[in-house]
Amino acid sequence: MRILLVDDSKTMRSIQKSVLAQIGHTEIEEACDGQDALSKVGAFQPELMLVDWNMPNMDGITFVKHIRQTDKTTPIIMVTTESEKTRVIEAIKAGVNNYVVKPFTPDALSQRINETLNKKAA
Amino acid sequence: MPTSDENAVHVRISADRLQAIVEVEPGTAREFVTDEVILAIALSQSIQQSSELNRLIARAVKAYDPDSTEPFEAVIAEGTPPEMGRHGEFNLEPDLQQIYEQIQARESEEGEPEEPENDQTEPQDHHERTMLMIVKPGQQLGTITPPTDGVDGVDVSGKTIASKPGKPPIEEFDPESIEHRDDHTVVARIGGQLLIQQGKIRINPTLEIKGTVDFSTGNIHFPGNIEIREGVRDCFVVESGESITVVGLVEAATLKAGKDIVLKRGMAARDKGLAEAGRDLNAHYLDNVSGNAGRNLLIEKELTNSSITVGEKTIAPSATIVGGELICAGACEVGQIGTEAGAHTVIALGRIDSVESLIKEALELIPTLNERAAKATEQLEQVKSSSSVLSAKQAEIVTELQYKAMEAQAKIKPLKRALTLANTVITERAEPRLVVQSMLCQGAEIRACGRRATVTTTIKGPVCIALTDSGEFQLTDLNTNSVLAMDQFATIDDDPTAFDRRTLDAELKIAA
Repeated sequence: MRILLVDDSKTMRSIQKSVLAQIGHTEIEEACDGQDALSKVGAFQPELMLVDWNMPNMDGITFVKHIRQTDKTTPIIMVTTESEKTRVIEAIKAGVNNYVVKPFTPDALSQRINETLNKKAA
Repeated sequence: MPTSDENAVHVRISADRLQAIVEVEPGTAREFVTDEVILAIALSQSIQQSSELNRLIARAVKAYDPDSTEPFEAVIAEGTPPEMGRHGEFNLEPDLQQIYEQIQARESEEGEPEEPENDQTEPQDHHERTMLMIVKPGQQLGTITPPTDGVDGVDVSGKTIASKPGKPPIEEFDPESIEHRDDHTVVARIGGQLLIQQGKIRINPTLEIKGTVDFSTGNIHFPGNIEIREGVRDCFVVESGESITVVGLVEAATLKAGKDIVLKRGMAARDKGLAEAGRDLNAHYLDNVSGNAGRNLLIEKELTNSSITVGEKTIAPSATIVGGELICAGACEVGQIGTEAGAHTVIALGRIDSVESLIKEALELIPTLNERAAKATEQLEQVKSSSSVLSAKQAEIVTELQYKAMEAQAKIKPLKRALTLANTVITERAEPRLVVQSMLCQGAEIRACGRRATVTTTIKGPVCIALTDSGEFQLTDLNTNSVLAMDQFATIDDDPTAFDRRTLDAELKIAA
């Protein structure tokens, strides 16, 4: 499964990458902000996206809105420090399928990923 | 003077009946050389009538010159020769063909093989220039071009001239070892030496070298058994997936066998030779050899200045071990160890170095990982306690530290499982027991389970050295079955080369 990781922190991307590897996903592309991600989506055709909220150039919520204009189905998990209820509602309205608040444990992230993929498969 | 004889015009048919030629004597009058006359003569000789016959006759008549003094000839009919069928052919793959040609060239030469001259522009190892056609199962050996039927011809009378079909290839393939497939490829059913003798082609799963392994054979890498009637020269390599038997002397060569190595005469390796057997290493003598036996070491006469690791037992009741180091996991029975002159000879008992080195590495790694996990946890607590609400940056740091702690702990678990397994292997397989039939000489060093006995006074055999339950040496006189005090004959101390079993025990207790 092709998975796109969008986060301006290389460390976060590498943690997410190894969590994904532990649950058997190795076909992964990385982007450092929303703009970079938009430029990679066409060629990579991700089947799941993990997106941070606060990033330079283009933030995660703007990226999600752009994507949802043309792609309504690819699951998106927002992985962010934004934990307020209003923010979560805003993200869901923009088209996010699941939400992980930082700090997260590897187990919590892999659980959310599995949840999201199972929901899509159903 | 022109002749008026009608008989001056003839039609001759060639011996192969593929041409009819009109012949006219010189000076024959033109009225006797007409289309009708020649056609009539041709038909009288059963030449098949056709428009082509008419055309060629007309051309001949036109070309005829009654004033010429030379006899006139012209072809007026042609048949079609038959095309004979091509014989079938077997063509070896180019790499095998190259070796086959070298073998044939070598067989036509005589004398001692010499090292080939080095091409200065392209350095290469001539030891690797094999002179044997060694194939693997499933390897394509070559292709067969099948024979063709040929095409019939027709003579000037219109009769068929039969063609001959080509013959199949002369080569005969051994069906047990070689498969001839429908697509005309020829493939090895088994691995071994490809032999081509008088048109018969087969694969011998055993490689027999009638002479010596040298530049006439090159290095040998063979999947099956290898039998060498003479010896193996310096610097050559013999590798077998099964067993190697050498009747003659092995010099400073490299021998590697998946199963056994049997050296009927012995190996004089001058510190450069290597003998590695997956199962038994069996030799009359070994001198200056490095090597290992996955199962047993069997020595008839002498093991000198060699460094050998043995997976199970050493069986050498009549042999003398002088100099070097013998590391043996299982029981060890030898004739004599060392010399009265005090040659330093080391016998390490109950040791499985491959497993022990892994244990050593694991034992070093576990504290490092523990430390890493503890450090990450400590930092985690510090960040969490510094403020009740985490900033975005702190949240990311916490995520990272949680991940580091979890990763380190996750790595410790399989290491501890591996340690338990390694301990089981050592406990089950290690048998630190040494029987010396004749003499255990001063200067010899016996190591077992972390203890070392350096013999200071020569002990006469037969004696047995084993370890007590508390891990101390016990010396038994096998003639009287009486237990002797080991420290009367040897200095006893800790073996600095062995890993500390107490550390392993402690780790295993934690793991449990």
